Amino acid sequence: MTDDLLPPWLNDDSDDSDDNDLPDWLQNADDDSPQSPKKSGVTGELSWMQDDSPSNDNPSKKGRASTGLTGELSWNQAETPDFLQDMSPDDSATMGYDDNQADDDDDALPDWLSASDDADDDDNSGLPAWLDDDALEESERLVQQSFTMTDEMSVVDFLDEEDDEESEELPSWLTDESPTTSQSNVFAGAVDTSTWGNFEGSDEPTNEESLTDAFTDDSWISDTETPDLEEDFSDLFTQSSPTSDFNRSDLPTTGMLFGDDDFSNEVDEGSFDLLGTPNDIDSLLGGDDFDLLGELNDDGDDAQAFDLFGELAEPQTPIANELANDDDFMSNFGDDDLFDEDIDIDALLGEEDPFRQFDTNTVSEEAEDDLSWLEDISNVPFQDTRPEPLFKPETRAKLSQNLPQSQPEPELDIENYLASLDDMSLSSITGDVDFESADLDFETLFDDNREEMGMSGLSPDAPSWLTDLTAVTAGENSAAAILSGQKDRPAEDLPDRLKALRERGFDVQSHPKTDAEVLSALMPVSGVMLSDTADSAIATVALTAGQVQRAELLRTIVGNALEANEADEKTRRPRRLPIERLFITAILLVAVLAPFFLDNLRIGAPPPNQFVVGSRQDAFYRLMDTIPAGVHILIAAEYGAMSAGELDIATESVVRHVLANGGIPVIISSNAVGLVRVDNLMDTIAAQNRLVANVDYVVVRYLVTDVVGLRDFSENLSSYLAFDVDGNRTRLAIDDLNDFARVVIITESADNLRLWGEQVLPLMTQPFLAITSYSAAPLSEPYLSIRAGAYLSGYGDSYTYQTMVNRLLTGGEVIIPTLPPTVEIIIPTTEVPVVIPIDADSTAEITEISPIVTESVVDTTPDAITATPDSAIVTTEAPTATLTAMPSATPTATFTPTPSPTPIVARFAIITAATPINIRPDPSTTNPPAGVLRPEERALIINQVTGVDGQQWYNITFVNNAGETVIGWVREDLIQIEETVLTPTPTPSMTPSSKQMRMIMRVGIPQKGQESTPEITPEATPSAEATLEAEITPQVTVTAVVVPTLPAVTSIVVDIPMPDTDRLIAPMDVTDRQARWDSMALGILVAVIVIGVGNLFNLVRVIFRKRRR
Amino acid sequence: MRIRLGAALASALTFAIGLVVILGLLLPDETLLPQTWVNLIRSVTSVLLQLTTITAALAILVGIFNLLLVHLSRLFKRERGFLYSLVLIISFFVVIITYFFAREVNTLLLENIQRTVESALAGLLFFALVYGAYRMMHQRVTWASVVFILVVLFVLVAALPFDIPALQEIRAWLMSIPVNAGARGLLLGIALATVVTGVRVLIGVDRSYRD
Repeated sequence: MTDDLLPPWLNDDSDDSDDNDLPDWLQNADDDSPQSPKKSGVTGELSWMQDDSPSNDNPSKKGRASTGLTGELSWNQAETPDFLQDMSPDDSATMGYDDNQADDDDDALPDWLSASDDADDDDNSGLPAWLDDDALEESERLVQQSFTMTDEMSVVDFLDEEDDEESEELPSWLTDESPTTSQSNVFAGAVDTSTWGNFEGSDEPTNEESLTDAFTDDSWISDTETPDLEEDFSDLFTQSSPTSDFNRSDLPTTGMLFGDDDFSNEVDEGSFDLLGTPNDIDSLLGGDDFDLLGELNDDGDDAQAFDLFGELAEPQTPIANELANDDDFMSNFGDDDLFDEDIDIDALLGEEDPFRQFDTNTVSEEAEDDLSWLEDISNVPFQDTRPEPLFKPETRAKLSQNLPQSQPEPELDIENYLASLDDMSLSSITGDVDFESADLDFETLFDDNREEMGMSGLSPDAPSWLTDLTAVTAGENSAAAILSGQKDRPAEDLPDRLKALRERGFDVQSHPKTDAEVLSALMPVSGVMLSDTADSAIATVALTAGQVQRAELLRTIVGNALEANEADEKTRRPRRLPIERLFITAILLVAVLAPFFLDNLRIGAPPPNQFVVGSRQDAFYRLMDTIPAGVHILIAAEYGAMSAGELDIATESVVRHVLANGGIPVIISSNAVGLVRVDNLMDTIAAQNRLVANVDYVVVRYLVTDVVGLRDFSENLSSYLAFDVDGNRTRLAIDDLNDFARVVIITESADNLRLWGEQVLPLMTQPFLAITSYSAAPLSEPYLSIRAGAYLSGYGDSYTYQTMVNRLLTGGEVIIPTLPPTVEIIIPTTEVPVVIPIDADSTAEITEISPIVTESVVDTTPDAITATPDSAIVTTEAPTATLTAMPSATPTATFTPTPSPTPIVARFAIITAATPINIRPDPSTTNPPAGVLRPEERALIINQVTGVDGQQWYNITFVNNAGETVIGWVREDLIQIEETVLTPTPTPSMTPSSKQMRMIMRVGIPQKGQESTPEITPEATPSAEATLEAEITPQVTVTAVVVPTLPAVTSIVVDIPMPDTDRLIAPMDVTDRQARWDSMALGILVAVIVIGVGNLFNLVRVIFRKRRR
Repeated sequence: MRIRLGAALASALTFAIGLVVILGLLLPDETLLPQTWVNLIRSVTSVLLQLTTITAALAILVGIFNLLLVHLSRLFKRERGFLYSLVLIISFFVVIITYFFAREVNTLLLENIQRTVESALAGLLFFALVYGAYRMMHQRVTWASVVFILVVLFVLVAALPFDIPALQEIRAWLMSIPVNAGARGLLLGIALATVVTGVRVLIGVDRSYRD
């Protein structure tokens, strides 16, 4: 080609300063000046990864050695934009050089390029002369008949076709001091030798064993250049003259640098051709931002092509920047001798290898796992660019025999390659870059914000090979320098091994692969194994035993079609009856069920009737048994239906125990099902014992959420206790956790206990008791042992506790043995308010209070008969074994008579009906009436519910004409409600047994014809004398002398239904309890036998097996 | 680094509220702070806790509503398994109705269906666990499996109602020393993890409240 045919901006005769003829993108590049960080040449950086074998399809390419650079990029080097050759005129038209321009924005395109948009092929009027077909043909004839620049070629492509002596016939624009000449210089200077070495590492003789697989890669041989061609390469630079005013826009891209076939040979030997010709950038970076090859190959997508070349024009090349900023860079090329020396491959591969700075042994193993960059490899079309074989087939066969036979089928695949890189993983090439997460794209790499990047202008996350490239100092470590320092030698001088490998590369037959084939080649573990007949470098794979193992492991993990087939085969197998399993299940089933049918089938003894004194269970019972009358006990039923069989009897026992002692159980749960079940249980107990909801017991509403709910419950107690589970008001006046005399948690989960222990218990000082399931006990132990020390666990403890409670309820005596002197259960000081009932018309005398009070209190105040010891007194002295001495184990209970009850807001129902109305036993009209009230009669309202008819029903109580107290229900439309504040005046009335203490509050309720504000309440201030005497003796006599003052006016006396502490609680049903215990015992026994015998048998079998071996 | 305004606000709000709640819960009665402040912080904490529980309660209602919608949709669209959806919807309304209008029936359903089914499921564990333990050393024998089986057998034998004092003592020792130690270790781990998670949430490292 003559200069005349070149565009003006390529013509060396043209004025370099005159950029008018340059395309815009070149002008921009030129304007940037060498010091400008902006530089184009983006795409070529990774083009060394491309399949660089010339295609057989194109006869014009046949016979060329590998190029290592596709023509899409080489157009920048050659005088002809090769991509135009592969593109239709329409495509060409869109190849603007400014990526900011739209496809159809031809105005921005060079005229010669935009003109081709509509021009016929033959009509090249719009093209510059050097692009005109005719001119091109002419130029080719002028330059070299055999030289045809194709889209598969790079700088070295045409060098490949040249002889050493024919270097003079190179295009003149390459031999002249033109910008394109400097392009070669830049290329020479910009090649990072470290990268070479990196790729070269796999062929290091010292790593022969570990890299045997890599040697079997035929692709590198397919790309191998003949020595003479490499000499051509050297000659090229020899021809080149340094220039000081090279056009930086003509600098080769990094891909062009790598596109050098010599370089690509090195690369391919080491890695990347083995990776399956990942000849696009995405395949390396693993990103989707930039698909160079995809854009180039998509001939129909002009926009993408447009963008591509915009990328080429606009971004900066850090490498080129570095080179451009290097003052010594160009001077290096002034030394023609630099390129005069031949390239010696052996030197490159040998001990004096300048690339040995790369220690392949230091390569991390992480890269083997990081195959994300392979994700896009399926998008890579194959290009058949096989070179002509260097040797004849017979020679190659002979050489092949000398190949190392370390693997059965020396064929290649990605697994093979990776396996060969035991010491050379991807991280050595790419650095510690996570290509999946790293936001690496060329926009980032060439961003203007260079100060935010690393020293080289790259992101700190940039792969090492890029950073290494930017660190290259031209002339010191450049490719040209290295090449020039090496002596090349003919292929015949290569060692046999390399010869064989080289020749084997020519055996590789390839054809364009489909994406599926590529994917299957790269991911053999997907179950699609490659066929032996596959003839490409990628497809002809074979796995070593180790690789097969790894593939199997991966297949096991991810599953695949093969596994699915195996699974199908398994399902098709005849199913074998699991006799063993059925037999064991049958044995266990019989063992569990038999005790329910056979009374005599008992294993061991039943749970004891009494807890061992001093045990945690015994402490539990004692704390429950010392509940004062009238106090509230908080019971948390934190279990569902699954644990009902184990914990139901414990819950029922606790509730009945509390009720029997005169306490008021307040039940709460964060388990919705558990709460409903407890509510049902309480309904049953209430029906048996005539208890009134929200009076004798309270089932509080559902406790929402766990941690926060419990904390809120602790902090806002009164609001939580305001309503019961049915939405009725509870009238509980409790706003402090210490108002509960005991807290009992019944749980199936240690986690629930933990939550209560963390959120509730720290805020209270009252005794804390727990009942856990057998499984929850171990994890509950830390909390229980610290705070309570008294808990039950499992069915056995519940069984015994139920026995003891039942004995109490049936009036049986509890045998309390003499306590051992070492037992000391410390109960925190508890101020238990005890309301001393005062009979209005009697004088009570208190004698023989069971708890031992160690201080004497004499209080003559009639309305404050209170004995409140300042401190708890702990007596460790063992009392005598009498019934009254039972609580003296820890006689710290505080006796606090409190005869000053707070005012009560009483609601009265006034009958508004004109005729007598029936009082129903339940909130409905279905059952017979329980009583009758006449018009304007009054009754005390004690509860309120919504009936089945949707109306409000009020639970009322009154005294009928016969003097009987009637409790029943009346509908809202028959009454009028009136609220009255009452201040009941208690009258001391104590009975010898605290369990039978009863408080009856009598108030005068004005009836018909009387005033609604009775005077009895304020006047009912008794004058009382109370004397409490206490001695430190096992038996204390407390005497109270009460002289009440009778109310002045008392018309009608009504019993306000306060909690009846003198209840007679029915004992629990214990049917099948023993059978269940026996069932558990027998089941456990059989389980022990099964597990023990089975494992013993297996153990013996394994031992014998080992001995046989 | 870009900071979204919404994320910043959410983080700030979370941090502020978390700090107030922590202060409200941890402040002792006697502090250097004025009592008015203490009371104010505690009041705010109480309100926040109640708001949380109310929100959780509402979430339950929303969940029930959503559950019904999903299964009604499956029912009307005759999607696969719509019969199960039908059973669920019928069960839901039967339980609701019987709770208010026929409490006895509701109790009957609860005790004879739900409790029975759940207890049966729990009972199945017995068979599964025993068979699993039986197969423990079927494939291979390791020291861990041997120790595991020995401990299982010992605990089970100790649970038998045989009056063997030595066995009971060993079991008691196991429960009080190794098991208790392990349990305490677990609880400590839980506590530490809770603290760490709480701090992470407060300072915005865990951004679940923003998602």
